[in-house]
Amino acid sequence: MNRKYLVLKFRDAKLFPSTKYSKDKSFDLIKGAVDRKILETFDEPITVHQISNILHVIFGERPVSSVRLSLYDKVDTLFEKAKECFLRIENPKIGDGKGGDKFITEIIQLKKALVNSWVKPQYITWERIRRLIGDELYGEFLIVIDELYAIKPSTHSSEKLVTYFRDLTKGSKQMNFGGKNTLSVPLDLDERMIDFFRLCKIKQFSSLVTTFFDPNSSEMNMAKNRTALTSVMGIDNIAKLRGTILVPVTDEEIKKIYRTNTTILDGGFLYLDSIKNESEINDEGFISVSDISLTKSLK
Amino acid sequence: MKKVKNILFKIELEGNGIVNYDSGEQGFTVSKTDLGGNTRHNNVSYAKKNFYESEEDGKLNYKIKIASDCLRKEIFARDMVAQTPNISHSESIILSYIASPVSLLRGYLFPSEKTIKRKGAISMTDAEQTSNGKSFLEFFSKSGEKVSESDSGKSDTSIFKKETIGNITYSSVGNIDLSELQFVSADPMFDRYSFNPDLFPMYKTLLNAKIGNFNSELGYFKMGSSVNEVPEYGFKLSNENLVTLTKEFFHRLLSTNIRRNKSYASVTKVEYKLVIDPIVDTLKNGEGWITLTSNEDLEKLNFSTVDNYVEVDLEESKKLREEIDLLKKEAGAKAKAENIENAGKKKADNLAKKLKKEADALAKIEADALVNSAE
Repeated sequence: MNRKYLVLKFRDAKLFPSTKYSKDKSFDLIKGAVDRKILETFDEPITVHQISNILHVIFGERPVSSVRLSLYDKVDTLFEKAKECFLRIENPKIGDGKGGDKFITEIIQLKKALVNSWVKPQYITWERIRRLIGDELYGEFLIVIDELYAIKPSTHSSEKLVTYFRDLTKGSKQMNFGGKNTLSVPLDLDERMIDFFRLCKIKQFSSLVTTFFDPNSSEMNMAKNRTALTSVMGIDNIAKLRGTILVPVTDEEIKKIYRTNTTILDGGFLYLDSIKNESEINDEGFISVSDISLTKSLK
Repeated sequence: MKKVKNILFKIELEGNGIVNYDSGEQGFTVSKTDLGGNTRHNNVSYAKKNFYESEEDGKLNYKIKIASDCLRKEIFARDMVAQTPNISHSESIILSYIASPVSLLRGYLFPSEKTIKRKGAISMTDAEQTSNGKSFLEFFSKSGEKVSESDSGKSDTSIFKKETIGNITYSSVGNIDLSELQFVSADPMFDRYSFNPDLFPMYKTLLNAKIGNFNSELGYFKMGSSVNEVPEYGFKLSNENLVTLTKEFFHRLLSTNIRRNKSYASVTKVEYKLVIDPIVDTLKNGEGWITLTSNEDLEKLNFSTVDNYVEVDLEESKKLREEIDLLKKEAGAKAKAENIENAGKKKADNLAKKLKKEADALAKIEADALVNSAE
């Protein structure tokens, strides 16, 4: 019998080759946020699961995640049909320097959706100090630094104050708030300044204190709803795959096709190129989807 | 009017110079093409490319492209909000953003204790070069102070290479998924919780102000074409809303103009096809394409969408969902128990490894002692 095949083509299917150093998260229905780098992923870029999801969408069903928990099952007949398909990935490969080969990658700019991608460099300005500790405490702060160091926002930048604090002798004087709750401050820091910082600590604004004395501290950038700063962009390397999928279909199944445009992997564009008889197809370069390995590993 | 399932579109762009650059790591790949390249130095900027292997001689060829991510950014850039905690933690700002045409078209993800996300309804390919122009590596120099720790005597002039090209044209294709656009889920069940349903009255007010005639109500819906009977909580956009959103997208697409310091690329032509029969109305089929060259052409756009989602009886839905929630809790408890068991197993395995290591070390010491005493 001369079988018919749907010839589906796809372009720009994004593949993230390595998640080893990824700080990204995967959001599971039950477990919640899980680090992506600890999740094992398929060694092969496209497996029977991805093809099955394409068929689910083509025949009007919901796709089922192969990585995260899903509360509904895949349609078995469509999963079995996926095993009968053939796949050809048409990207050229280059040597990976270890005797093997790999897909050509390109750089991509990513939006960092995670709320804890804190900016490391310090950004200390009078306005940010005011937003961190509030108007009342800020007023007291200005009085203290004016009386002690003759520094005012109207005449000096906050950098002058920060430089002054950082130039003080490093020491082991401890501010004590009871029990083991202490904070190290320079030996020759004025007692009145210490009293003010103690007040900040009591009101849970210790990030101001650590920011002044530790140039590597980014605590001020972590104060949510006040002075939080996150890195909103990141970069990563991706491979954009293109190829062809052959799906065996009967005339009855062709009538049941609901749609022929869908996505594959991350944002890949898939469309119906043609419907051909088996004799019209050049099967060079195709592999059977059922032969594609399902082994997973950490990348 | 026949019912439309999705809308295909093709775009053409014209420009001059390179608007989308890749990292210097491309040098290794490019060195195998006619462009050549320098893999030793990292002061070379390469344009983003699609690489192809020649069937005749296996040589690597390329075409310049503008990545689909770059195109999407330009289409939606003026309305995109930054992902910062100051915005993410403000309920009113988040709601104002997600109740907008941009969010409905483009999609979004805001992770938090209850992550809200929506898949975009627009998919498109990279815009690939269609003209015959050949790019080349042009040599540049720049004067600027070089900051260095020691007085190395190095010049303040930098030299670098950048890939350039003259006039260039591109083309891209894409799809508007009306099924995805039509439904907005307020249900974590199907892993696409898009907004908090408790805030729907405010959401409705905000969206109505932006697209007008938004009268949808929350309810339980099931996918009309699916055998899966489980209802999903959310709301369905009306046909009028879908036409408005489609026009909004095409208006943005027609206005897309990527500007860089020394290069540009702008959309010159948009064609669309309403897909009624997915077997007949394909990308390859030359019939049925309608050209848009101006916003006046957009006014004529009108269609009727397939009802992808069907409303289900409220009481019946609630009953079914209670059963499912119970199953979900059991699944959660089972997953937790498995995690505890796995953690226990891992601890036991680690302890066994540690004991074995100590036993091996002790055995080695005893063996060495025996050898020494024998000597």
